Amino acid sequence: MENLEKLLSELPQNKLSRQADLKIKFKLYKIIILNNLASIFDFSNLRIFSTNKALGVAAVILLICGTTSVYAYASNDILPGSQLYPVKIALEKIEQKITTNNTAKIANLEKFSERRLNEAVVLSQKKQESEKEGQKINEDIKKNIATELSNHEAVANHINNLEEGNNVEALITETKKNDQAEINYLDKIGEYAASNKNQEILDKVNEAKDKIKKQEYKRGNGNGWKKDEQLNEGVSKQDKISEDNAAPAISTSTEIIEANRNESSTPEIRSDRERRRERDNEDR
Amino acid sequence: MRKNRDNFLPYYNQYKDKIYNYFLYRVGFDKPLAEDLSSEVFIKALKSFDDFDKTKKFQSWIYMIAHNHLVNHYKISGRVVPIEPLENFLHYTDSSAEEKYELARVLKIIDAMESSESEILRYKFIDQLSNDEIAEILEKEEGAVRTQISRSLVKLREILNSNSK
Repeated sequence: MENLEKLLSELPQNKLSRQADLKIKFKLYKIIILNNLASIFDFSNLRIFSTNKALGVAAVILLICGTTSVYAYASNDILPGSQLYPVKIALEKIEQKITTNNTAKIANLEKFSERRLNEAVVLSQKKQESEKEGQKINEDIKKNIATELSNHEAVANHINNLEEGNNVEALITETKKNDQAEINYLDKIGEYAASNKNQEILDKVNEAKDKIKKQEYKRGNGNGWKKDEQLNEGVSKQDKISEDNAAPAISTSTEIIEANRNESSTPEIRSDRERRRERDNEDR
Repeated sequence: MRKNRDNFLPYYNQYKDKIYNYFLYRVGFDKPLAEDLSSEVFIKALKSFDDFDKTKKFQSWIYMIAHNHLVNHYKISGRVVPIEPLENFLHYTDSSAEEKYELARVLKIIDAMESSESEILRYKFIDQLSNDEIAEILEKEEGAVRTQISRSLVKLREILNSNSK
């Protein structure tokens, strides 16, 4: 065969199929990405400062704790009694503390109220296997209702402190809608309590519903918004109920009444009186 | 050092078809197997890319990995001789029927030759590597490679002539 080399040089050159190419590329990218991620947490590279090692370890711990916390915060399955429940409450507190905007604070409180009631509904559904466990669940439900009422009161306080121009009317309308939703939740809890013949919870539910229904938001004399005195009386009772709850801090009723008194003697009003006195003295 | 791995992809794009072709001719045109082996070779190469000596040619390095991988593959799975290499091969060429027949016959004989002879002929004509490149892969002198190719071709021709008689 004389043309052997020529024949061999004509052997077909085959190409990798597009599909196989993509599969291989995917595998390669995966390795490269994982490799780059690994290099971020490669403690052997952190030799310049001894603290860097600690920082690396802290980053990993934070990552793990962060994931757990996010799960705890977002999950509706974390109920009172769960080990992660305190984390959930703590994160809610932090969220409320770092929120500076009053409207956002109100939205947060509404959100937390809904969560507490939702938890109470789930707890009500739980079959109470032992008397001890049943008692614990009852306590948790009562706490959640009390916390919800505290939040409700705090919302009213925030609205009261809002200045005009913050679209307060719309906010009140929205808050009233939320109040109705809260009553619906309480109705559900009440239904379960009635079916379990749990008079204690039923009384708490009715008490809470009454308070929410009686809630009024009306305009005060000053720049802000005020609640009526009747509500303040309700708050003082509520403060007692929710002492041991993980609710965000709210002003007590006495503080609110005190604030109302102070507002009635604002500098503007005082100066009016002084002017009148001065005019009387001049007349004399 | 690890960041060097990001530079691997251009090499992959340049040599993916060559490595696939390398395996395809050596596993009896078993396309899925050739794809799997190519994939494994590139993953292996990527993982040891930090150790790649930049003063040497990437092509030689990747062919060496491919060669070792193929040897391991045969060790594990045993050499599988394709039942109908000719029919498989016909899918991959546009040559005339007569040429296809001739090529298939030549390839069959190369497969049956001594491993050192068949390997050097495959590098030369299937992988279309230059004598320098083959010398680098086989870690031999370029002159020695040239001589070995020449001898292997003579031997192949002799076998072909004796078979056609």
